[in-house]
Amino acid sequence: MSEPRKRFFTPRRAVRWLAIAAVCVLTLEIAARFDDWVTFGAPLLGRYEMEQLFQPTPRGLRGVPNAKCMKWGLNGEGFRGPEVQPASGQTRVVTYGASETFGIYEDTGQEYPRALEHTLNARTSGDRFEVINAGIPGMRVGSGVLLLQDLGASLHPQVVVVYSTPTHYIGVSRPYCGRPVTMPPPPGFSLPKLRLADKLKDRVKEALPPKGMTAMRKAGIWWESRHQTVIERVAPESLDAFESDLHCALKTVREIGAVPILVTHANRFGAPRPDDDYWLTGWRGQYPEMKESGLIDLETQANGRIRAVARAENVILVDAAQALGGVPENFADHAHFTNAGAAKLGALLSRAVPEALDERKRLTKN
Amino acid sequence: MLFNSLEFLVFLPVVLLVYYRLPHKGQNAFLVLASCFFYASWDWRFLFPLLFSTTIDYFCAKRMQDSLERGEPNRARRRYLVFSLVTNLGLLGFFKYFNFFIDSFHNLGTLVGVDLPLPTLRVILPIGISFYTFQALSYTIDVYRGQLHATRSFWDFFLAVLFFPHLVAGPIQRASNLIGQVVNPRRTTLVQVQDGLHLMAWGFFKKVVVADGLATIVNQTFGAPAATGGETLTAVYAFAFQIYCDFSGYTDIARGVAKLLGFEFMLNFNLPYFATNPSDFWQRWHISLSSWLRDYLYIPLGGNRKGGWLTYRNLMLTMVLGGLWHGAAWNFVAWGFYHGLLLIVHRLATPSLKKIDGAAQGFWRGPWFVLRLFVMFHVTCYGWLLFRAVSFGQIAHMTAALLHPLAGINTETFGLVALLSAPIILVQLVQYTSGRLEFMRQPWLPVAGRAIVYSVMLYCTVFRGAAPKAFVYFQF
Repeated sequence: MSEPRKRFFTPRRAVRWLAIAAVCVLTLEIAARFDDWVTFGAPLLGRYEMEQLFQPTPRGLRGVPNAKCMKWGLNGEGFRGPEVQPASGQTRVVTYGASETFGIYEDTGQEYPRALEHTLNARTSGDRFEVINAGIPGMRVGSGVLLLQDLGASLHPQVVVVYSTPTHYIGVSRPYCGRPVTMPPPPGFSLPKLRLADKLKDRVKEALPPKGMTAMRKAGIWWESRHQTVIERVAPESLDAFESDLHCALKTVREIGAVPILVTHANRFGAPRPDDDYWLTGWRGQYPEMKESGLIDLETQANGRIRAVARAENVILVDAAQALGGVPENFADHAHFTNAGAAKLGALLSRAVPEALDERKRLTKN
Repeated sequence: MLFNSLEFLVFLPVVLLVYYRLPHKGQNAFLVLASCFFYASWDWRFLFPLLFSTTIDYFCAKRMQDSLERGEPNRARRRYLVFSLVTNLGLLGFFKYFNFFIDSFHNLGTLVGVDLPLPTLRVILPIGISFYTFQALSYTIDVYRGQLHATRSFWDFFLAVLFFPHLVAGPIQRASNLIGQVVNPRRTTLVQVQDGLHLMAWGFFKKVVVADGLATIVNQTFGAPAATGGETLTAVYAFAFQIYCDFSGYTDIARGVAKLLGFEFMLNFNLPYFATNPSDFWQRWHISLSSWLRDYLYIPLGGNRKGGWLTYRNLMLTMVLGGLWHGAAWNFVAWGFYHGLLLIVHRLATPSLKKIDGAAQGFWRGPWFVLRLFVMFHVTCYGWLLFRAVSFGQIAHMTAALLHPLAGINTETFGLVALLSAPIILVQLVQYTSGRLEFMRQPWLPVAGRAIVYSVMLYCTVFRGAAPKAFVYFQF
């Protein structure tokens, strides 16, 4: 008589394997948190995300004083960089913009506001210049005007560098000009997020070959845009809103007694390159509603508007798009700077700041 | 295709998926294809010398077998053996040592003021040539000696040599062990799968986390023009663990992959830093090579059967050639010479050591054992300095620097070396004291404990590993 065949899947066995799987996931999550704690001093419990560096206020998004997350750290005023020094004769320059200004990929101290400060101070004998990095990722040039007003009241900058991000105006039909972006209320209760999941996502991104990554991104774009109409070109009213907000920001800068410097938006795309598809899909992943060609077209048109505004308002223009654009070494992704790119922009701006200060002197005399 | 690459992580599951669905003959044919693909992923031209030497060895062995069966005298078989030896060693010499000897002659000529117009060749060294040459030679020599029956199937022999888990960096499988596994039907057991996955996980951890983590420190110091005593000491310790984890990590992965495919490879490392003397060390380090050298070089030379001086000569010759096997450079010769010298000194000191062994009883047994361990580890470490150095000038400089071992020591770097080596030391202590190499099969470790250990290892390998680097032994 043959022995009855043992069943491989039994409820007891399934429970045992589930328990083992749970122990593994729990251990991996604890390891991830311990790793963050050792590496960055992150809390073992609770959330640990870049978004926690900022908090919504009635006057828009603001940096949380002394907040830290991974390599990013804010000072007591809620700005990236060293503590703001008490006013004692130094020239204050504020860099106003979004993630390109805040600095995403650069090593700490290498983002373009710091590079600008180093270059300016290297030209003089002492620490005469103090650059305040007022970049907040995702901030539109018009919605941060209230921040400019607050900066004017508290820190009295002499020069404000305006580095705007045109793609933030995709789908925007009317200017912000001081109207802060309304933030959705925080959820009452949410399940704790696995830090392991984010780390795993980053690791897969690093490990995947560019073609695999591009295919994955394209699938993600298709999924995100499956229920919406994909637009080929930016709507004229969005560009009008962008231009209007530029005027609004310049007006505010002047109202707080500073001289503005306008900067065109630079990106890595110039002469066609084999890896363009990889970077373009990465860019479009953030704006699935617009085609890749539309993003390039938007940048070209928006930079035209920035140049026109600079001419119309007689503002010093630094053409970063012209000087840095199309050179892949300057960019860590589609538009965020590498250390080298940030250093070049810092050097470019350092030539414009004295010019702005001269203009300020002239205006003050008049 | 490195074991620690994304390509291999795709390649292996595909191979396993297809392999498990095939009958025995199909499995062998598929493994030949997969191994060709694996090897050709470096450079498809590497396949030609391999195919050439394998074909020669196959026919030589077949002729020797026929000759043996016909009862012909040894002389008839010897010419096939010589032909196989000349072909294999000729290829190895051509690809690996031609330029080395030409350069050496040229340097010698320059030294005595003669400019020798000697040609150098622009050839690339086929990966793993030293490993597969020795493996194929073990086959023809064993057939010549009548210790192994030559296989009738070329493809079975080809697979035994080409089998991808051991092809590029060993362990150097004896034909007697592998051909039987190729010829007979295999069935992968659940225990083999468990052990295979464990070996792979542990191998990846050793390679990606420990070896590659230490590599940065080692490369920095050995790449610097003038390292201090403290830096040299740190780098030598780091290299001792780097090379061990790199090579034994590769071996573990290779053995693990072989197990998943139903094969069993020989053990290649047996807690080498627990050796208490040079002879013990060579029974624990790169066992597949040291036993090959013992069986096919040292013993045929006469071994220790012909008295004192000839034994010392045989030891020295074996170790110097073993050193040269590692690479075409004089520092490997020096390393081999150093180990030959250690073996001779140990042989001379054995009577005295035995007396101390006998005297060290009771309480003194422990300290005496630790002292021997400590001395042997440091003697081995000095050997690693010779192995890793890029020139004799550097060896001289670093040796002098080691006379002041704490000068300019960077405690942070030293701490990092200690931290990276700690898991290896800890696990090996458990393995040594329990006498079980399968440390995850310790009876006191519950299933949940194993799950935790594996998860931590997985985390470190995936998220804390350095960028993929080639295995050190690939250059050999």
